[in-house]
Amino acid sequence: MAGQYGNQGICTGENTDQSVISIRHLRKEYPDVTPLADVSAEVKKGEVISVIGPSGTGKSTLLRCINLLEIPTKGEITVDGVVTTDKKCKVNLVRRKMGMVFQSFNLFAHKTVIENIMMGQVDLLGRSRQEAYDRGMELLRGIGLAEKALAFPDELSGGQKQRAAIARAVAMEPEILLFDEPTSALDPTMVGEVLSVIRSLARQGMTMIIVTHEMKFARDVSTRVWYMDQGEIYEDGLPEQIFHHPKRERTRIFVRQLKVLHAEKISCDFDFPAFMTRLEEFGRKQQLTQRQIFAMQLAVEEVLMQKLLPVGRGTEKMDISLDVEYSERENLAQMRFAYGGPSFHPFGSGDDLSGRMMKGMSVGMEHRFVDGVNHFIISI
Amino acid sequence: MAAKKRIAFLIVALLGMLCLGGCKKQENEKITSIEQLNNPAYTIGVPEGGAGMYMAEKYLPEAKHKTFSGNASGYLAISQGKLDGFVYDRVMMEFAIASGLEDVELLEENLGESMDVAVGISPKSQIDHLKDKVNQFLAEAKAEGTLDDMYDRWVSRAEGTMPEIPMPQAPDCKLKVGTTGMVQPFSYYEGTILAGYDVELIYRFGAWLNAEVEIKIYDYDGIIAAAQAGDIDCIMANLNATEERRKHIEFSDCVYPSETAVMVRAGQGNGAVRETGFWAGLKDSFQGTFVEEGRWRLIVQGLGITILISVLSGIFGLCLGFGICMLQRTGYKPVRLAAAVFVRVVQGMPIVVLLMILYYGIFGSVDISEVLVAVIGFSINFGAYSSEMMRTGIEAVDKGQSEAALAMGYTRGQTFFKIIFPQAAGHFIPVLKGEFISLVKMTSVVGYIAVQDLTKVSDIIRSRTMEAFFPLIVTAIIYFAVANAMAAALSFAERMAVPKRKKRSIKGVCM
Repeated sequence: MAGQYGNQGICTGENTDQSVISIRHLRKEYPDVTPLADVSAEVKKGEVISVIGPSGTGKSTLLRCINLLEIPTKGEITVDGVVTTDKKCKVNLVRRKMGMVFQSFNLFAHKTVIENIMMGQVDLLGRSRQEAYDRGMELLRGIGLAEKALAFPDELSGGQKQRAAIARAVAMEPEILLFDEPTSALDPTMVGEVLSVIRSLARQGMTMIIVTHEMKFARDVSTRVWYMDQGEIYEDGLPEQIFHHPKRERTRIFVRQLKVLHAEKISCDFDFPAFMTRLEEFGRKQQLTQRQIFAMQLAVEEVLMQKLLPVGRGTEKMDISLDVEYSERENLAQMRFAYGGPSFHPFGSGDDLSGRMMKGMSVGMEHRFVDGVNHFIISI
Repeated sequence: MAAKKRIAFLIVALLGMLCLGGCKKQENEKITSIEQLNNPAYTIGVPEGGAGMYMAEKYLPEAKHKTFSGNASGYLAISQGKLDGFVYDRVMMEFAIASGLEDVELLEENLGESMDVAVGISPKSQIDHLKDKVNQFLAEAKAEGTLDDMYDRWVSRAEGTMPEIPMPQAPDCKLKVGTTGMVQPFSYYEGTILAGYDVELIYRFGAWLNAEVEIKIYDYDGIIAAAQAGDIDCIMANLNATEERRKHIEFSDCVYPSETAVMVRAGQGNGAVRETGFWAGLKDSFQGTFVEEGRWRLIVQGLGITILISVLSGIFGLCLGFGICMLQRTGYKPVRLAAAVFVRVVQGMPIVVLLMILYYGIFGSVDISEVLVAVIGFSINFGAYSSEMMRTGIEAVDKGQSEAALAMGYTRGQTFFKIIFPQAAGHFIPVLKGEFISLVKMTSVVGYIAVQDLTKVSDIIRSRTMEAFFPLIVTAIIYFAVANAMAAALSFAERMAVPKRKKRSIKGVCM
């Protein structure tokens, strides 16, 4: 690796570990919004990082800051040992080390596919046209587009355009590839062909940062996942951790694609009729079946009105709260009750009527007592 | 078949135009005396600034006045019934009638007193004491009888031919003289050669002064301004020394007195009925416009000037437009603003005004070729318009592509020239083609700054043949042909520059 740095011909910093990119306290402000508040991260050689998160949380801005299509307001970015945020940095030379693939493909409309791939090699890498052509055709064959070499971009389908754009980026022999939502502008039928090209790049050991909304793909292909929220990398971990055991609440809600209805400080004075209406509306909006909506309402009635409130009456404040979460992917609604007081399973005492009813209506019940708080979960 | 039909249609349309042109306004009462015209019911034509205008204002204040810059258009207006009377120099009008102007006659009596024709002297002339020298020359010529002889040859006997006047071998200075080239017998084109009383006077004075002579051709309305600005040293153009003109330039002593007469439409009985048929008439017109005195050479010269100005302005204008377009894309706001203001100002200014400002104002005291001034003016104009077209063309190229090029490592300049501009060119070249064609036609106003282009040349020919339509239609047809030829050439260039995308091969690669 060290030898390779020497060959770059650009001043290299003292940072000789394997970080291809390191970002320190990056901040990007616009007059009215601040998409990036404070981002620090390292990308090592060979890593495939998926960046996920809700819209408008600065994922694309982060990528665009890395290759300086946006100028960061504050902070420092080092790419392959070169501090790119330095004013003296030759931006175009640093950018050659980073290929970028855009959501809207951005192929050069006046050139054929093969010319698109050849141009950069000839103009910037100093290859002969023949070399560039041969390399281009090799890449096109690899992605199944050899016969479209002489087609113009507007004669290609979206998936073909994006594959050609990836080939164009790869032809420049970059140290790292940045993907900015590569499949977001595609028909669902074309997403697969693009993802399989990216997947095969990952197998070849290409260092990549991929901003994506394809959760399954992110989980399968990446070595690390950044969950971005509120202008920062909210959680950074292995795919396994982020997707299956997220440490933080927002991550969990996002990766399970949950829709949430929240109620707290439930007491005898709580406006139950209004809450029932809200619950029904929530259910309708998420397109739950009538049976599921009825079961949720029943759970509220049985757990709160029949069990918890009567038990809690007279004792110290139970501080009951309820989160109703619906996962569209699993078509599963979960009612997560939390309350204080001693460990208490609402239907643990016996085989009473409401207990049997709830068992019949739900697919599972779980009670945990952690740190003096009861967690009771009914899955419907 | 279709082609024949189209030609037939064209001919019918032309005939229609001729008929319309020939239609006469309802006849007023026949005019027999000057007194009759001093009535608001009558419209009289007066020459811009000349003695005719002065006399008409003085003696015919009641009539409606219409100003004409050239005498030829005044004559035509009379014969077509658009005017009831045209007040002008008697000698010139007699010559016009003698050379074939029909349906008009002169009233017997003169309008007002006779007026001096004199040499106009530029206050900015480089030649010291020019006025004194002119006066001395005139006095000597008068004393020798040269002036009388000239008047007799050119005017009274109308058999003028240019005598051999030896040009100075070692001139002391350069003498630039303005004249009109459009009034027989004083200053007119005999084929492609200037001739006439004034022209002879110019050469004689040049020889007397031992100066190299340069003659420039202006309309009457431009010639005073040219002298004022110092573009010419003096004016010898049968120019009446009116009070109005004396405010702007100086005048020499009287060269000869001129009389002002009134031209009116001939009575119905008097007008000779045209016996010639349409084709014979067309043949005569063709003969008069092209063949007589070798006038086709004048047309070819004018056409050459028109093409020269158009092509040069097109090329320089394109370069200028590109420059302005680049300035408008820079990051510096003042530069951008300045470029935008320049474009707005030029777009908001009639091209004639721009040309005059350049010619009489900015280059007023610089010895610069009129053709060059025209090229500069039209380049500025074309530059302003083409820069806007380029800008829209460039903005039409999707921004993502330039981001993609930048992300690959292209510099901003490379991105612009390799990715953006070739695509923008595809957008703006077709529009630019149309703009260029209109530039070719716009050049027809260069006559204002003494350039003899196609339009001016056709005016000159019209002033000799006294024909209303034929020269105009010929000019229109030539412009049409030139514009279309140039459009075809541009389309060819466009195909070369932006190759057909169906061409499926790659340069420099063995596939």
